[in-house]
Amino acid sequence: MGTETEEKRENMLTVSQLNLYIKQIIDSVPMLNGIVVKGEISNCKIHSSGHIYMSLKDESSVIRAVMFRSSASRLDFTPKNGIKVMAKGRISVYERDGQYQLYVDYMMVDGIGDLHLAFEQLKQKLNAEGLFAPEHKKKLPKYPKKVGVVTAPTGAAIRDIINVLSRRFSYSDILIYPVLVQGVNAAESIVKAIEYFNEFNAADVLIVGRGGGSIEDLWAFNEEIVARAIYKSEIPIVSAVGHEIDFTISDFAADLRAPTPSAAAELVVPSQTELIEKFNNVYSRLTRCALNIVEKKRFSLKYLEDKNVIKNPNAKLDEKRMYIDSLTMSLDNLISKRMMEKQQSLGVMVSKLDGLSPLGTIARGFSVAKTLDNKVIKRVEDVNSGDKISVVVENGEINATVD
Amino acid sequence: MNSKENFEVSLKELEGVVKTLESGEISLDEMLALYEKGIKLTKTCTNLLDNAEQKINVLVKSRESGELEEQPFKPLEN
Repeated sequence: MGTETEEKRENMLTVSQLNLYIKQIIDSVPMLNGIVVKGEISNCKIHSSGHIYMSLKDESSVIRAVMFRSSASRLDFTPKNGIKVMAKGRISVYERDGQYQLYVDYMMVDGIGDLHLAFEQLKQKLNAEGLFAPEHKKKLPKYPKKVGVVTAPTGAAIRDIINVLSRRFSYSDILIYPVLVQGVNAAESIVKAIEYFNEFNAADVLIVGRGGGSIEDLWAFNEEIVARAIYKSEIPIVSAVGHEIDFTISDFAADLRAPTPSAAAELVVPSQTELIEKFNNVYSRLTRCALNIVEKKRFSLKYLEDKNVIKNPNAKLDEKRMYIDSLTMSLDNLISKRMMEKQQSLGVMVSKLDGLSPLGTIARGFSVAKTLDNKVIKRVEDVNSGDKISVVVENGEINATVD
Repeated sequence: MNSKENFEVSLKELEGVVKTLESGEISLDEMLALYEKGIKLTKTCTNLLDNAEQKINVLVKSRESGELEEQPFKPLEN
């Protein structure tokens, strides 16, 4: 009896001791130290510390898993429930809970098919909500004073963008907001950057993007929060994710999609050389216009000159004078003609009168005898013997006495 | 008004001048004044572009305030 109890006492362990013991056993199995597990993510929680807590499951079993921040930051996709993954890590025991679990060092998506499905589903959902509507697209400013760039501070994308912006249009200042472009926290950091530019109105146009990579690398730009931040932005956004063939949800939500980061830089600013050339054109256009106007004015001046008024200001006066002359002349003519007519008819009248006048008869040798009281003596009875009378002859009167 | 605003304003003015001149319906005096103004504006715009100094800044979290502040960007070699 006693020995049995002794034995039992010897074998008795505290919970902590047991858990530690089991942990040591498991940790010592080489196969469990470097293991790849295939399964679907469930119960996924990304803690504010950056650690990811989740379970991996298949049809009939489940294992708890944890990914610490240092490893999680190297992920090129955001773990989510339902995504099938291959997780590399080791099995160990969490002594406090007596739980063995998978400590994940690295994880990749098992089967791109699921990502494509997620992509299509999100695209449809956001499209139905109107996030891609053409009427919501904002026009890019023609001459942005400040270009905001949301991308990784290192790598080809930022280099290309800066190169093109400085070469094309040194007029625009550039403000870079460095962000993570892949990994668990990428989407959130991109959203923060877009919100920053909007809050402080820190740019006239934004380039949001990154260089090329696998679909997992680009995944942050397929995240719903990024698409919504782009849609909400008051500042026009050009998306520039990966290569020409890569389309992301961000591209659909952006005001303009550029096939590459360099292309985005070309889209947001005009070419300085072309602008200066344009100014030279304007210069000659101005001169041409001015010459045209001078020519036009000269033409209308010539037109006026050709009119006599200007060429010979007296012409009009002369004309008037001539008209007056001609009027005077016709008036003269008319008057003398009238006079002549009158004279003629006067002559006729006179000769007619002449015929009637006794003077005419007298001129032919007849004479008129008148009494002293100037009565023409027509009959013998008109006078008595001894009366003084006068006889009118052509050149005078003869006084006589009736016998 | 800084030079960047100047450029926009000058450019707008220049466009207006060209438009009016091209319409042609103005007096000779107006034309001469506009022409002179237009030539001046093209020179201003060209000069502003030629002399523009591009600032390239990066937002960095300030050690003191924790707020983001602009600093000159120096490209890191990868």
